[in-house]
Amino acid sequence: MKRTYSITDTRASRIVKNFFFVVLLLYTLIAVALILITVLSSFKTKSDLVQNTLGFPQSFTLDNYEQVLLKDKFWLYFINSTILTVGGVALLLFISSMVGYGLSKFHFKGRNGIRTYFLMGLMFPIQLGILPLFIMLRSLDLINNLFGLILLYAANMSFAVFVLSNFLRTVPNALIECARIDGASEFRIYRKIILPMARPVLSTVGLISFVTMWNDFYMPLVFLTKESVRTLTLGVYRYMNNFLENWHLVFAAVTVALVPVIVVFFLFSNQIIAGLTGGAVKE
Amino acid sequence: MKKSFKFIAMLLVLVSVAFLALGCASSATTDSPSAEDTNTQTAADTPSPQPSAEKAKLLVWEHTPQFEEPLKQVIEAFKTQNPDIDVEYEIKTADQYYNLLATTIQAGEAPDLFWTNGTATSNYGSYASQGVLMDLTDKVDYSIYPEAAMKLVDIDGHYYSTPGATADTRAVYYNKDIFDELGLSVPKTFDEFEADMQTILDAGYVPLALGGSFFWSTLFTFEPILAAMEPDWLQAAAKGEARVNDPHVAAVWEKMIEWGNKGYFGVGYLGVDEGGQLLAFSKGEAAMTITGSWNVSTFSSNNPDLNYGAFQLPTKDGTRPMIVTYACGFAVSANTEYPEAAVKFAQFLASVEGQSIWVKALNGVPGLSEVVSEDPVIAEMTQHDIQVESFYSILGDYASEDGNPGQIMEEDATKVLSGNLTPEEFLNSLDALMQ
Amino acid sequence: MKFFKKRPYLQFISPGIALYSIFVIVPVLFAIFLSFHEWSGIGSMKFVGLDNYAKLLTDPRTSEIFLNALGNNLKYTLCVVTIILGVQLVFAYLLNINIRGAKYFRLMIFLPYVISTAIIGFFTLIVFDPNLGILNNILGLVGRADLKSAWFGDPKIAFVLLVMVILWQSVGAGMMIFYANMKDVPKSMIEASVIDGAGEWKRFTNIVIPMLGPSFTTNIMLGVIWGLTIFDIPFLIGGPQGGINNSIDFVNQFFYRSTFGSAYFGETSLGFGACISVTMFVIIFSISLMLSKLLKRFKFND
Repeated sequence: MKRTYSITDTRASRIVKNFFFVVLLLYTLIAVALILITVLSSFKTKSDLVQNTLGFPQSFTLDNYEQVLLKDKFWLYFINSTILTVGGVALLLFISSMVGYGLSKFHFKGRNGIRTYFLMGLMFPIQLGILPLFIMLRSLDLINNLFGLILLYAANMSFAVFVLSNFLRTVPNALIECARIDGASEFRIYRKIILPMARPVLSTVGLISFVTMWNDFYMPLVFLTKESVRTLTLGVYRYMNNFLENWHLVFAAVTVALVPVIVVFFLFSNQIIAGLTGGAVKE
Repeated sequence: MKKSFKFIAMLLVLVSVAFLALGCASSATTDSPSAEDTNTQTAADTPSPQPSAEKAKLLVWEHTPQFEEPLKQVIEAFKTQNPDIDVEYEIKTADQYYNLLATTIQAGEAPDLFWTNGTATSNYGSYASQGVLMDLTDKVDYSIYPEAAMKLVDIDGHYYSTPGATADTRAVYYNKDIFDELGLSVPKTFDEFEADMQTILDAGYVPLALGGSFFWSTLFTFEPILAAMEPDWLQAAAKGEARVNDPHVAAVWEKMIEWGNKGYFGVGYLGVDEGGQLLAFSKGEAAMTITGSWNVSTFSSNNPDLNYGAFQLPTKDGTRPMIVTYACGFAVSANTEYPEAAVKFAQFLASVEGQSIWVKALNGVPGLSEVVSEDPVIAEMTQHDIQVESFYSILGDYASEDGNPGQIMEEDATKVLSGNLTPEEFLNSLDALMQ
Repeated sequence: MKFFKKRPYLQFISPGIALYSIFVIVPVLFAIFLSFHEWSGIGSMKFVGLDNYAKLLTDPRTSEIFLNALGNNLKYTLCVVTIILGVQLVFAYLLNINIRGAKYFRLMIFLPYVISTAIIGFFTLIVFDPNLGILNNILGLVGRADLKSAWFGDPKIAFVLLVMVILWQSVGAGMMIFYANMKDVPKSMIEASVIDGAGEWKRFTNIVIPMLGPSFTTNIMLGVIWGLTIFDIPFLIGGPQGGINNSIDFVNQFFYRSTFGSAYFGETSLGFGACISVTMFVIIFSISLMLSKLLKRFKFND
């Protein structure tokens, strides 16, 4: 790790930084340990798991992965989860960024009312709504169809709208006014000015929404019942519901569900940094 | 960069839409060889719902993955005998089962057959009266079933479901290796059982694993202890001749609390859930555990090397009571598109052959005398002297009109073990809701 | 078309409003309607007016459990806006000032958030199970078997443990929001403060924090709403009954078990469940409104 000596580097702040370094190290060790246990255990045989639950595998076997990925079709669930989540995040960001912009940079009567309106979605538990949702999706013939759920996920935009409308407020009005004077259309302003400035927030919201959708269990349980559209989380739950019989598969399934999200996060965190340091600096 | 990503993502959404439009047609091929569209078309055209040229398609719902294997095998056997009927199944989760079922029924998309817990739940009766269930009384042959098994499916003399294939019980599972190591044998009396637990505790094992945080684990442990301590009360209560707030019952709760304090259930058993309880036994850390007969194969599939058996908890004088609760099978939707095929399947489920397949696949205790289990553990655990009712069933049978003592028990039983509620208070609150 | 041209904001918010209203608001209206009925999920609904509400608020057993759960929610929400928020802020700042290993920490702090709830439940078993879990086993190995505990089975510490687990899992998300906001603090201001001789703490409190208006609003409002509607992890750990002696019972679990019962006595009473959600909605809405006004007062909102 390159030690950068910047103007902000004083002796006192170095001591503070080192102290917190240790704190963070210990804190993150928990996650590392648990994930290590999970991944290692996914390579254990059944009897090894029973006798040596938390230790290092006595022998390595790929049987669990074979069962999970091939026989139990986790590769299919993986594809389904990906389509669902990517589509959902894309549609969500698209629509919610427009709404966020509309609610932050324009002043009109009832604006606060609409802001509150959007917040209401966070205040109700989902389980009650499944009957009307089921009927609606069925009339559109979107049950057991990934697109139906993409629509549902994008519709749950309360969080995204709230965060985006809060952040977009900080975009300097001067930039927008200039563009308007230059004759740019509203949409052009949105595309060329707002979106690029909102990159860090969009990435953050996108990331958080990605995780929420990827791990969602209830909506797929209700609306994606056929095996052909089953998602990863549902697959993992099926194993966990019969835990003692399947626990050797659970470790492998969990690893399969976890690894892609970690990879995506790694890639996108670089994106976020690129966006942040390369983005327009506000003076 | 961001914009191009957005563009790619939107493209993906469009691609997925296209994919899924095609996917709906191809998913029919992945799931079953017959084409869905032609089926529904001909079904709408012809007066008879079973088109002769096309296959009938049935959808069956089950509530727990534990029964997936038996259901799958029964369906396979049925399909071999009835090549013109196609059967698919879906497994749900136990918590949301009735909510999902109700949603699909309301929306008009009910599965053709679905599991219920029969008269053990109050909504079975309301389903029947709402016309949701097909009346199977004259359509399915129930002659082989004993009256006790039919109690679960009977509403006012009409039968709305197939009976279950298993007569479930609870038993004390024990680790044969630990017993050998400590020179113990299967206890013949209740006092011997208690003494054995002390021996096991002194040797450093958990005598009786119990998932105290999970109501059903507590219940399934409580019921055999009640049967072993107070068989007379239990038999009287089954006839409606004893109250639940009887001091005899309170004594059983006191006993359990005493055992908990002595450490017989293990340290911190109130923090253990069902998975933890069964795992403790399966891993050989606990010498014994009390759970249902449906878990026989759970242990062997979790730990193939486990050397275990099971016995019924004896009373002070050596009598072995066995709690029997019949399982329930599947009901047929009144609005199924394929009534003839559905009834055929129900009949198969209720036949000796269907029941045998189910019992063998699940490795449960057979409910029919015609079906015999070959499993040695089942044989060992079903050795008993008298048959008794489960406490929970008694609560259901003699509940007052509006009362739901089962629910109160589910909410409060653990509080008795943790000392938040005295057994007397608890039992009094149950009694208040009884007839 | 001119209608839209005159009101450019409509072009932006209409698709969202349409989608949202159809798929989110309609179910909410349905739930409100349901709350005045008794319904098992199929067949006919029975209109019962305010009976459900009466039962919720006056029936001794029900209201006691409800108030206990609500109390837990409020206790928990307080923890969220103080402890959890504080930790998120500190972690975000540490990453911002580019502490050693920031890149690795960024991933690892956020990682637990990525893990789905089922897996968290699974981890809880591995760590906290009194017989098999790591904690008790380590205590036994180092000779402190006297400290072995039931962990979540002990009503005195279950709540604290729960907050710790949730903190571990959710710190990442709020932290990222603070972090994104911190990146907007102009470097020039930071450098100026160093030249002026300000210490790290002064910089943190006087420069960075005041510029975090948007993220504070976001995290506090969302934290409060989320604290009042939490479900996943307590349900996983404590089950629908909310743990031993209802120690980790929250309103959403109460809602869940009142509405759906269980597969074994199957008492789905959707009307009562709807009534609970509507009541909670009123509570949450009022609290959010007050909070919003409060934040405005402190100029975090405009």
